[in-house]
Amino acid sequence: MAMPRLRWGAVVFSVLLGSFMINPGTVTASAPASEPSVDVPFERYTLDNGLEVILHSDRSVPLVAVDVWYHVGSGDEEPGLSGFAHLFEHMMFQGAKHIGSDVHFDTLRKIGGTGVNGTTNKDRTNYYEVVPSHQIETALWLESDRMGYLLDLLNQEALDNQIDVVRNERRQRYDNVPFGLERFAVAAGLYPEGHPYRYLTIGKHEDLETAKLEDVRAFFKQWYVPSNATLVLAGDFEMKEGRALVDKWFATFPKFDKPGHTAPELPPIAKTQRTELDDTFAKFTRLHFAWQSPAKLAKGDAELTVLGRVLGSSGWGRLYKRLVLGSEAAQRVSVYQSGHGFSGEFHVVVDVKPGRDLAEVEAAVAEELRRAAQQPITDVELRRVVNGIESGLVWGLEEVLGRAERLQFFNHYSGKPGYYEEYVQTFRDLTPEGIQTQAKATLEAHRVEVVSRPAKAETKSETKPGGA
Amino acid sequence: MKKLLLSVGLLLACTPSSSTAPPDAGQGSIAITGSKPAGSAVVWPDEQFRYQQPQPQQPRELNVPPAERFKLDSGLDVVLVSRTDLPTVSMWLSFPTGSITDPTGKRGRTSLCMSLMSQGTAKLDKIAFEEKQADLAVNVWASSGSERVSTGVSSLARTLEPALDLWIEMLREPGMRQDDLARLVSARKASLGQNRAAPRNLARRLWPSVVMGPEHPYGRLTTERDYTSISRKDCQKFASGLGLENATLFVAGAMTKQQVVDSVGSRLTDWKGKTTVPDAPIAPTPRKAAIYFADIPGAKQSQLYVGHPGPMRTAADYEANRLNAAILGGSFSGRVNMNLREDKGFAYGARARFSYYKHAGVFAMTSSVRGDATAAALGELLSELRRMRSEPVSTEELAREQDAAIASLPALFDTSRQLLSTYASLSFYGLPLDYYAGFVGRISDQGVADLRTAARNNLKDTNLSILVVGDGEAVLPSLQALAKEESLGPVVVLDPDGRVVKSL
Repeated sequence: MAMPRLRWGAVVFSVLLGSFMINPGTVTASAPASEPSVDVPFERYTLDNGLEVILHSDRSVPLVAVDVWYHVGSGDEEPGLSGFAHLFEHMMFQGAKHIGSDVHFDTLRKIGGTGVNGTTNKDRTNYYEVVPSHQIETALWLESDRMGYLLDLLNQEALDNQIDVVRNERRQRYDNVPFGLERFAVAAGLYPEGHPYRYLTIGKHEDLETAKLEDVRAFFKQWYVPSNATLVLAGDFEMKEGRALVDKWFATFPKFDKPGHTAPELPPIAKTQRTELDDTFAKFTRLHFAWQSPAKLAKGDAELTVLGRVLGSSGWGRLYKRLVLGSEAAQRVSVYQSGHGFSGEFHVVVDVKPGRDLAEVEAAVAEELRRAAQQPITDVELRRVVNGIESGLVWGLEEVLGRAERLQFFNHYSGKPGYYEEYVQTFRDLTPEGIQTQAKATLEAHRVEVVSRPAKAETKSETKPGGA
Repeated sequence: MKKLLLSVGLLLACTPSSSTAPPDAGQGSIAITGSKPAGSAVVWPDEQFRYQQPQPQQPRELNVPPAERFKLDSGLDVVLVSRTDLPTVSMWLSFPTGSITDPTGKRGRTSLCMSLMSQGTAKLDKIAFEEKQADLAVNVWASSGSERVSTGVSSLARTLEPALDLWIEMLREPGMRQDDLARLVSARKASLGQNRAAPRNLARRLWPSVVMGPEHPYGRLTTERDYTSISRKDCQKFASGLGLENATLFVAGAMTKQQVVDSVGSRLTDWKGKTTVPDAPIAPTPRKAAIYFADIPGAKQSQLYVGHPGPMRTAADYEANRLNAAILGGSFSGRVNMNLREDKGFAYGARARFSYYKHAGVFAMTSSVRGDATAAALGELLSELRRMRSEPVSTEELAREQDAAIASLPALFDTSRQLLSTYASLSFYGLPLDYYAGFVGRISDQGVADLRTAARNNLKDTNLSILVVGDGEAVLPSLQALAKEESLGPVVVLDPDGRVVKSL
């Protein structure tokens, strides 16, 4: 055995906040490459006030991920308040009664918090941080304060500022990039006026602009109640200690009824229609087809997930092979099922190279879609996708936050934090014929077609202060 | 899966309130008792313990997985982080050469040739090579930088042997096919077109040429003509220059030293040769001080870059530079973010940092700001920069960033891949692999005066490189006014390939 050249020694790092003992690890005898468990063991329970708690203890690295999912997303927005769930997420970082104003990031930074953020999608809003495990309680202090006492510090100035920030976010991610706006056109084709999925999670400028403090209050009271949240602690703590800390910070909160979600009406697309757009920043022509499809984890979701990969995988996917590698008419191809809480979407997106013929690309896409609906995929293709999904789930376990998010994800969509095994089994049980049946049902229905073309140089959009 | 995730972004900062101190109990506390959603009277508890930040517990021990460093029989240097908690293996092989060696007229050669190498093997064409990876659920890749190129494989432990076969086959007998080269060139030319047309892409494209110099190896721009003139022969020559002598193999995951020797060593016995380490380039030659501007009509936001060449990664005052940049804009809490985002509402975020080539550094403040706020935001960035030089940082800010650097250490050792990339980075800059053993002491030793000295030496507020990409008609007049007012030099309009169009 060669001695490791790197010697840490047993260094005691004196830190203002405490100290870390850094020990040299020991090399264990060669472990043969066997099939280790990729289980994420957990305990789930519910406090009297309805807060759902999931604990996953793993003491290998002195870190804890604290991850709170509120079961509300842009899919729960009222007409006229598009983008509100996400704007509200921003307000959750502005301060609360006991912690003070605008100190959330500072406080976590001082204790070595990493991966601090919040995100909103159609179905849920999550807030998370990874902290050194001896600082777990500060993370619980911050999360409990905004769950219980956000409204105490709510003020117009902070709201005005975050409206600006979110509108800048929209400009940065949608209004000022190639193909940012075609996403709105696709959603407008999939969902009728008034359906919350129609405006995307970022929302419309005119709705964001008019958000009121009273909307923030009402949204908080309706959706941010303990019974509509799930708290996950994952990482370096003892189960008993974890329970006690959760009790201390959350158990005295009052109980409210769990809010219900109303699935909006979704009429099928009546007729395939095409929208043509001029894109100020694009240099490719983008062809984008989208269909309504099954919801996340609903029957058909797995089938279409596989189909998306069979058609679109970089390297071996059918459309990739044909258009990117074969005719080289396309710069990139992307095909995917995107399931949400109420319903899903299936997308085919192709970027056509400058000077290449859109009609030729469309013909190839049409032929591959027809083939997918009329013939089963091969066993080899199916196995490839299932292997990829299995291995992706293993890689996703590396980080403690990844494990926390996996528990939350399956808990939210299936009601079972440990749904992983069943999820993988769903894919293993798929057959080429079953996938074909679903492909036929989805792809032969009417769809949305959006074609974005590079705008001519003289097409100049008006620059209005404050943006579009 | 394209799920829409809107993030609050990693950016903010206000005057650091020392949040470890309990806030004034009376501050802004309006009990919301009596709010009655769902018709029931409810009381949120008023509990004393909530008024102060909890005390930390006893810190736990951090067991850093050891990095073993050894040589294979072939002479190849290996750095191994062995961890068996997950059945995964990542490895990569780095060679100390890169795009600074690209000949004139063939800029982009290294990057293109590394891509070509990873298109397949002599036996497996592109599609067969991709299908084989997908069947095994493994990933074989190649990448390139200014002074390092790498290729690697990641695999579950159960598929490691065939994954290694595939990877080594690619390394030893890459396909280097003419039709793959032609396809890559066509795709890169198409990307160039897009990169000239989108604000963010164009700013990224132009910035190195502004701050390092349009003729400097770190700053030269690639054009279609470069790609057209790179031949298969050029790539074959480049690939044959990659030898194991001077290369390093990094391995992380479920492998022991013996397994590396058996599985990798045995597959590399016949690979001879040496990678020539290129000489350090000359010092950066930034364009003369000015506001450089590139026009994208219709842009809703302006991309801002403000900076200058900076110290090297190995500079003696690295820690002070790092803390200065952290205070100025290293996170959400940094001054530029708190100013542009949380105070003015000009932007979704703003950052400042030193970044490092092997032989030079760059300091840059960056943001993407609302079009009508372009000049005002630029003015704020400049004033924050001057303030770093003219005033000492506050002890609260310094403490916050020292705490952050030290307390976040465990996150550097969270996963084997993360640990390995930490080691790879140390090795790239020629720093010792036990660098972090002394890290806490070096960070803790920094005082306000050290940061002040470092700011005066390494943050410049004159002769700045400034780049703005936005809608010229909307923002140029205010930029000209700002340039005059702040003596920033002329406003120089560049075309998307960095050529001067006019000076205003």
